[in-house]
Amino acid sequence: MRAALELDILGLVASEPAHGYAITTRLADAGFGRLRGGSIYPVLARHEDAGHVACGWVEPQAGPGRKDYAITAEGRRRLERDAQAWDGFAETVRRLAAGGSACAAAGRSAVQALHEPAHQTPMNHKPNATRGPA
Amino acid sequence: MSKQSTGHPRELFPAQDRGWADRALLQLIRADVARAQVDAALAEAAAACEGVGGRAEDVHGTADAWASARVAEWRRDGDIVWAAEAPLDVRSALVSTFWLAAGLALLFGLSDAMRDRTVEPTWGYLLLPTLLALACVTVYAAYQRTLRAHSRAVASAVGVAVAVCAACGVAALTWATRDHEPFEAGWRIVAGQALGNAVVALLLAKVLPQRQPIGKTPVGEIGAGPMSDDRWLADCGLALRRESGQSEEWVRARLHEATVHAHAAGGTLWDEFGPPMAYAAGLPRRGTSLLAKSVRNRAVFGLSWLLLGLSAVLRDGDVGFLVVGAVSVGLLLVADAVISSVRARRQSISAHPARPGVE
Repeated sequence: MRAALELDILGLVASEPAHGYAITTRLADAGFGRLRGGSIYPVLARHEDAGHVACGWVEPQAGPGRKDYAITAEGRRRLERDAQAWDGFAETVRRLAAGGSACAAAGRSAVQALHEPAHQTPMNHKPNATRGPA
Repeated sequence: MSKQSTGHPRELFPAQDRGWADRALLQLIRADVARAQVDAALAEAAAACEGVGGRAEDVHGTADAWASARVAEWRRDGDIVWAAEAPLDVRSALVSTFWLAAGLALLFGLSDAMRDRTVEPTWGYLLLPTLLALACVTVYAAYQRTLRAHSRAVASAVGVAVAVCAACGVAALTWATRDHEPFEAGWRIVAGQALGNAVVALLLAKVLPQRQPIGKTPVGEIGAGPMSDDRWLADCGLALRRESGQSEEWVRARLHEATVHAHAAGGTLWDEFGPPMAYAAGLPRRGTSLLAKSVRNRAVFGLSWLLLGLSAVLRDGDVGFLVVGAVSVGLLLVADAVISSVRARRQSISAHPARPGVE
């Protein structure tokens, strides 16, 4: 789930600019459960650092100012590329689950695509790393 | 099948790859990776070499490249594998002061012995190692305390101001007590200074309760347990300003953003973001942070040499070979730190010229 978070957050801010808390709420509505700020903001910060999103301060009528995140052209390219890779991966998993070894060759190519450094997927799992708060 | 760890991770590698393992370990430690993670990563690397049956350099590339790739991977994926220094507390400050004083007393004694010189043991001379150590720790504590709420520039200005005040205070005390010689000169004075300070350090370490770990600690273990929002912001601000290499504007934006989020969620910052040091470690860093550390270390060494030169002038009252040498080394190190800092800043600005446009 954590690996998919990066792509999902990019997808959420692609439809319309949003602030961190709104992103948390939308992810909860989408079935991710209650995510803490400690899980969301490091991902947003990395997207911002990589130039995938840009942010601006919004001063609401009441309450403190907040930071809205919006996707950039670079972020949209990244989103399209990663979404395609995920589609391929999900399709391969479905086919493997249904047909077994007949689809093994196709599965290998999909997994190889997901191992490429640009992608953030469950295949990059590192068992020794401590995960951030969820 | 991989070998079981027998203690040091280098032992998992064959003899010809142990140099590679040592270099990789050094690079990971320098990048502030927690020791347990370093050992685990090296164990994985050793297992991969054993599985393939090749030399570490053939399987993983150079040790530097392998360590850099692992660090980049952990950062990219937001893995909390880092270690950091816990903020300085009263116990650490006092114990460090007296250990440093004991070390300085020995150095001064050694310096006198090498020059075959007998120093008049005035009160100022007797207390000089303790006062200098106290000045150094006070400067560091003031810098760190200021950094919890203010920018690095403000903290540096406070540190310099405290250093000047401390130097003036030490000089004034040494001058005021120049005619009072309570003891006979001799090696017992040096032994008394060193032993006295060491005993005080040991007693303080024994008596004062230890509230936090000493040295670099996994970030999740620092500041463990719920804390007030103010303390969370101060700890997180300190960690970000000290380690991230990001601008003050960036740091303040992160802290404000976290506060707004916790307010909207109806919880505390601890509830929403966990330990502040761990949260700060998970945020991206500027590539110059390693360089910044190196610059900081050179600046600290440089100032230490300058202080050594100053103390020699205060004790001897003349400008001899030791003073000229110490001040020259100090000035060179400080100048080098300043030049490196300016270069790093220029590189940082040219690497991040403007924010990408929003669609």
